Amino acid sequence: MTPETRARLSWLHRWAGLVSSWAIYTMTLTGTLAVFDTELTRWMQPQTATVPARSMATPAALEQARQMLAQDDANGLPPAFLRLPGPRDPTLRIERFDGHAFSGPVLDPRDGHVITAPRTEGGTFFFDLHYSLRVPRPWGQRLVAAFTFVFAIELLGGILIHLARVIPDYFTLRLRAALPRFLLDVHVLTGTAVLPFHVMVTYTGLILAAGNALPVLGRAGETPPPRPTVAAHWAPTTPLAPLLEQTRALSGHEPEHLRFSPGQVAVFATRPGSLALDRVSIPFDATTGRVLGPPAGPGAPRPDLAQQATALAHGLHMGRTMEPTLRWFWFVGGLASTAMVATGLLFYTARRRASAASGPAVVFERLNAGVLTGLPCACLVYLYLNRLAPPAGPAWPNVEVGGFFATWLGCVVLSSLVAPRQGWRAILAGIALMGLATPVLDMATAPDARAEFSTSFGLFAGVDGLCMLAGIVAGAIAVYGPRLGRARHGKNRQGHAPAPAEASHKKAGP
Amino acid sequence: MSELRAHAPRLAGALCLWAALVLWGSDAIDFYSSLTTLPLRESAQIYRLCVTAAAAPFMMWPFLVRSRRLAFWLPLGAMLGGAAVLAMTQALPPAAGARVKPAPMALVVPLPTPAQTPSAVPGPDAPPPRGATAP
Repeated sequence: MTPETRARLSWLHRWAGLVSSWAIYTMTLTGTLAVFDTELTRWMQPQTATVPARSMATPAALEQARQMLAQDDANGLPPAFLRLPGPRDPTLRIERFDGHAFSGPVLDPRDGHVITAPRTEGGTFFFDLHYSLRVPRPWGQRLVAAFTFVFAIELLGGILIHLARVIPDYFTLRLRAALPRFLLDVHVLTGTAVLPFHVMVTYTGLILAAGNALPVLGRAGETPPPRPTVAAHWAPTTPLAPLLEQTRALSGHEPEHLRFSPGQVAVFATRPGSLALDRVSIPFDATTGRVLGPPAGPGAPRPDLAQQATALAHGLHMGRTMEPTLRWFWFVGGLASTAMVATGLLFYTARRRASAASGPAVVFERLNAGVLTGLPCACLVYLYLNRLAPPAGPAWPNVEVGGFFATWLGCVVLSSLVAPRQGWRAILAGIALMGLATPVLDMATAPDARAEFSTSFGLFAGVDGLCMLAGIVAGAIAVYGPRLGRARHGKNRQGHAPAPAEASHKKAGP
Repeated sequence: MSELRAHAPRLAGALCLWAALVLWGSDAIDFYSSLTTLPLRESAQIYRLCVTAAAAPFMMWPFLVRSRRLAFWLPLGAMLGGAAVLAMTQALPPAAGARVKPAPMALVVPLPTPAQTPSAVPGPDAPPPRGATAP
């Protein structure tokens, strides 16, 4: 590659990153959290800890759910989904889409009684933020598709720029180098260490967003005419337990959820422990319980190649049907993506700070501090509000979501009012305090702490532990980060020559 | 800013290449569906699967060529060509094989009552619960 081509690619990489990195940072961090969205929802509904793991829905519980659905139908509510107990969540849930997330009453799968858990968006909030940035449909998805495209170009540009130095960069982390050099090392290291993951998750994300990223125009893009909207009853009158039995027999997999439409119940089953999201749907008559058609979907006996490829892309990107160990790998890969994006941004501001002490660079640096530290801070506030704010009826999820965005905005305002270093330290200290205190909060506010320990210790300890880890990391950055930066600047102010690494970086550039 | 001005034709070229992918892709899907019995919806799915992987390197091409003019005019030509073909195919009557396949499991919802907000009613394009594939 000629130096001119490399310079052009560097420009593209830098500016594409600057334009989109805050959104991509949000997408990567919330996507990482969404890997454990079900677990987060359960943490936010500690009342569900009384349900033993691996519970199965009994016919009595299914009948209770059917009666509740019939009542909703009689009250004129739109159709709901019935989520069945699974390995990650042993409860029975009636969920309804509110434009952003699915929420609804939680039932005990053993007898069908309603568990008095707070109505929350739970982990699906992070899922929604990841794939739509909380912007109303369809603009949110379009925005995310555009940012995914930009991220794919950035990633490819970054690979081409660093191609000649991939192996040396893989083993390079100069902790004692100048701050920009150190940040660049971390940026490149987090990029190269899990490069296959970055490539996989970006391209599968593009496939998921392809409807918006690559729209089809003209006759080929015509959407099917919407079915006439009629006031019809959607709740099933047939018992649900036999439908699940038939689904098990026909598909060979455990049913996962049921969808209802007038005259029809579709039971969906998924092949567990698979990289692909192999889902089968079997339609049943809502009155007689008779099978209306053969199993359909990627998990059906003879799916076509396109279906299989799409199911693989969905499965790889979301990691829903994977084993827990693999899901943890996805989580670590997501954290690496987040660190890569964040250090890329910080590298830019640190480098600009070295050349210009005022102007847009400082404003950008302050906003950077607010956006980058504000998001994890807001995530912790979201969890805290769930446990501390008094129940507010149907508007409950809005309290948590409102608190999340208010905190994030507050962090941006704070960091733009004070010096960048102070802004960083204040917000990081807040994250450290909240993160380290999360286990105390959990124990203090759990309705039945003993049940948490006995039935779902791994889940609650996992969420508490990750919050503590976030607190420790934030505390370490708050204490050691500015100290390192000050040492470098102090050296330069005293008139010493810059370190060789810094000098070589200034010559070469990224 | 001068850097931006220097790279503007390449940036425009990259956007033109994206538009060319969309336009030629729409033409290709329409054409392929008229030749086969494959519904438009499935042709579009196959097209997107194939093109998604190639789209990012394709759009970076203007930054890899030396000539700034070539980086702009060739993508512009590709885009205009795609638009012209699409306009012509739209003027022709649809082929017998081409058809729009209805969604297999579209939700038919009751009319919303005044108490329900529009956002509370999931339409046919409402996503399935937490990560489920589109119906």
